Amino acid sequence: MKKVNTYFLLCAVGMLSLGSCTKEVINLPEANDPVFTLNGIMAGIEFDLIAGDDNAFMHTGTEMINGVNLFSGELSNGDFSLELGIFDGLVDKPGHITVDEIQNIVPTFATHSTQPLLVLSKSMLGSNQVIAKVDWYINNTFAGANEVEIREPGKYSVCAFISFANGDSNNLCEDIIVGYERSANFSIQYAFQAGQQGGYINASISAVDAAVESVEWFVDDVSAYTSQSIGHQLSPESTRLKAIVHFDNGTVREKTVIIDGENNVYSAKSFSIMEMSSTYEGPNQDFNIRLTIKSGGKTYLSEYANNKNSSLAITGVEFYGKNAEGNDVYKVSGVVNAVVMELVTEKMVAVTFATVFGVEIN
Amino acid sequence: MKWTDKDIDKLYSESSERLAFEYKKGYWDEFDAHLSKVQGADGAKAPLTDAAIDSMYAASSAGLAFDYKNDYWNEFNASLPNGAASDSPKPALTDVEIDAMYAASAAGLSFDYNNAYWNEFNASLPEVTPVDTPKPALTDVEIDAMYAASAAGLAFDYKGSYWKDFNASFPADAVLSDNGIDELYQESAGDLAFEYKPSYWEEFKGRIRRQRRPDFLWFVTAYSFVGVLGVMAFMNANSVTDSKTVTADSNKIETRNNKTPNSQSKVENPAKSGASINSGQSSPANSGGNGNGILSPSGANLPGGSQVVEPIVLTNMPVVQTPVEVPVLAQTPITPSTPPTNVILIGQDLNTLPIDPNPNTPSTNGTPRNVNVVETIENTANPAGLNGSEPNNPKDVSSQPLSVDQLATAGTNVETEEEFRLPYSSQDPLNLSSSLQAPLPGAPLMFNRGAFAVAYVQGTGGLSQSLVIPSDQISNSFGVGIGMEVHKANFTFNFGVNALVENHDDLVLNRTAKVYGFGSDVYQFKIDYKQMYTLEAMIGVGYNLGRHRIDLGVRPSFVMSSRVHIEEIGSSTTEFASDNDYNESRDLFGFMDGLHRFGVKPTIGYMFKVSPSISLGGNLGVELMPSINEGFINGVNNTLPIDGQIYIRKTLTFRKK
Repeated sequence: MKKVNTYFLLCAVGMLSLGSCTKEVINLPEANDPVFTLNGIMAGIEFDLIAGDDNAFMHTGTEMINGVNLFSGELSNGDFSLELGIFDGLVDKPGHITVDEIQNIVPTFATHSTQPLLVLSKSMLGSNQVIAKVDWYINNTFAGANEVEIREPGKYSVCAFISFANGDSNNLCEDIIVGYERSANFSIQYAFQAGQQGGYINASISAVDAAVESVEWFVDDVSAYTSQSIGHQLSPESTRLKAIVHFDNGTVREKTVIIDGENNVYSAKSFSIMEMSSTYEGPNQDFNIRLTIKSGGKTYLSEYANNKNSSLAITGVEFYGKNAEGNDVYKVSGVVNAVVMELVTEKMVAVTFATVFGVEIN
Repeated sequence: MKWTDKDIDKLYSESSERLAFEYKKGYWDEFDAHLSKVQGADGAKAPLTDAAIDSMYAASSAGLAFDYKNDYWNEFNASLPNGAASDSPKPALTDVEIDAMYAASAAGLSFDYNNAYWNEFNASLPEVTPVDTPKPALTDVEIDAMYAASAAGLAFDYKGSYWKDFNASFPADAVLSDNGIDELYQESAGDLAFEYKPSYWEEFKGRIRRQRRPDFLWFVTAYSFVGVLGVMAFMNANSVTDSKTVTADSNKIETRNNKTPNSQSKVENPAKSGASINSGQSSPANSGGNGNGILSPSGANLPGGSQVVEPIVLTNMPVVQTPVEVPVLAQTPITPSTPPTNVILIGQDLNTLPIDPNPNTPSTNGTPRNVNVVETIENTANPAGLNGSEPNNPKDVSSQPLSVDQLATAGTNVETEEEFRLPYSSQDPLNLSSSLQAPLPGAPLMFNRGAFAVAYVQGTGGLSQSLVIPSDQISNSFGVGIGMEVHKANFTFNFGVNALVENHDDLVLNRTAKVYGFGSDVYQFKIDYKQMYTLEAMIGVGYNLGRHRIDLGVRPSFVMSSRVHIEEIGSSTTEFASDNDYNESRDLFGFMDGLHRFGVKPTIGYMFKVSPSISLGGNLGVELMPSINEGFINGVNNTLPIDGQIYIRKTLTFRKK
């Protein structure tokens, strides 16, 4: 009987060893339908691109244009490419969610303005008798002296290097939003009382479009107060007084003034005055669309064409995945009827297409 | 003066200013005369005929419309002098003409039917409405053709609301119940009739034939099983009965010499055991010194008390009609001191036995020529030789009866490798079948005995039709197995399991997957299922016919693992390069996605017993279960693939030491 048991035991062990071989799993990828597609007609010529076919690839990325994100995708096969960009909006609301906003707005095409949107003027900072010269730097690039025009929408980091008539100099930097919606704004109001050891100021916030939720005052870049109105003893030197205001609609703005403690004449106002004095009345560029087509060595742009009668319908926005840079990419489905202008010949060309486009949106 | 249209208009205008006037025939005559006079300048005016007047009227009235009132006609009619001749009646229109006119005028017209129209019309009819001449009755064929023509091209989407509306159209107390519907159906079905044509049946049979093709194998298999069982039953009926009589020409009793000097068998005196064959014809005295009686006429004692017994050849064996009784073996103790006897091997043809047709006549060698058959079979020489115990220890053998099986397996010089066969006829005077029922643990395969079990190991090889179609490949397999057989009477119940390695050449999956994303990745896989490692059980029952056995059973199987060869070729369309090719090849074990693990095969088998411990056999089975996942293998499952396997089986004998 022992022999029988041995037989069966050996057989059982053999079977178990056979079945317990290392098993590997083959993950056979499943074919799927194309994700990003584009088909349409431009100047009577049809185009049809599928990312993954015929060397077509869906590139996605984010480009910073004048301080505002342009979320874009470009579907290109090397010979033909179409770039669809969506400008960010609500640039004074740092907490906004672009994807949500895109699904709730009626998109329009961004337009290139032929008129200056805003003029940076020395005279708005102070009297000519006091300020001898202002060198303007926009986004850390010298833009001009005394008066500089801003012709494109954006959120600019503007610095003014002020040379006073008495030989003093100072610089003032602020963000200026032009061509985009300003959800709220404010200016710093202060009353100066001269004193022997320096003046004394009573400063306050003058807000528009939204209620002030909180204020943080900085004196020479040091946090000093959190109330809306403050009184502050100045030093005889110039003092940089900055206020960061949080509005109840999520807007955050920052303004700075330079106050001379000895002679208030040599002070510089905030740039807010320039924002508010902007003569630009055109549509804001929040979440506008920019279309760029390259075909046959030519470049066509929608910004320079009249697209008032064009249509752009976004039929769906859904998360797709992450691109090679690890950023979120959304599938934007839409139908577009637009006009683009060829840059060289300035010829207007109609283009119509339906697409499922990939757009990187952070 | 020439009348111009303008003049006529002016005249008409002036005349019409007199809003009413009394018509007098003289006016017309005057006008006509005037007209004749005017036209006379151009030629004689032809008198106006009715047709010309009608034509003129039709031309002038074209485009005119007015609301007809019955009063107009009455007034006109009244204005006619009595007996005024009207226009000659036009020929009456036939119904067909009227229908045609109506159809022509009604073409294109449509209106919303209002029940009030009909009621009004119906009320306006006189009491007796003339009936149109009945049209010739349409035949069914014509009606069918009309219906088919009108119904052609019609289609509608059925909606549940139709039925609800229909049902709702009935009064509340008239909702159709199932019975009501049945009655309606029966009533209307009673009106249906069709002419039966033999072609209908032929057509139907043709469809059945086409559809039942896959069942062909089943029928063949089933009929084969039935046939085998029938043949077996027939053979069994000819070979095994409970009859008590034996015919000499169908029995065979073999004798063998005791090759071992100290091993002897003995055939006892029938009188001693109480059994009798030709009672009184055999006696100890007749047995002579060798104790073999008539069965060993030439027996001679060997040294040590054993005896050489020459085979006895009987010729002209008469038919034995005398019932033979065989005592129960257990009742016959084995006596070591019993003189050597021959071992009588059941199975020897009685024709070979020296049975004298005249029992009372002495045999040529001096022994009675009785048809003496074994009364009792004893091992009288060396019990130890039978059961392996020490000599002179009769306990083991004396305590249990000896059967032919024991003799066959005992350590005596009886040719134990020789099968003990008992092809007895329907008459069994020896009643041997009942005497051979005692189970012997560890004994080799015998039959016609009580239930006992033996284990076995086997090696197996086989061929199989491909598991997929289309394919012209034949798969093969080999393996080893173990099992157990339980024998009961002539039946053997088999429970076994085989570990098989199945080799395939045609289980291949070619898959190309293009995965789209920002670009695309193209994957090309070739997965070749080279081997499957399968556990296959065998559950069956067999019927033994001598050395042969027919098995019926089922072989459930489970694929435990596999070996696949994988070739993978990939290419990508990426942002930076259009082609990033790679090529990999490897073997993997355990990839089971393309296989269905469970299978079951009804099986018919045959086994031939080469020796008591070695058997050769084969099985033929049909796989009922789909073997592959068609999503992973090129092709589709082969329906009912047949496989055959052969095996060599070694019966294991385990003895207690």
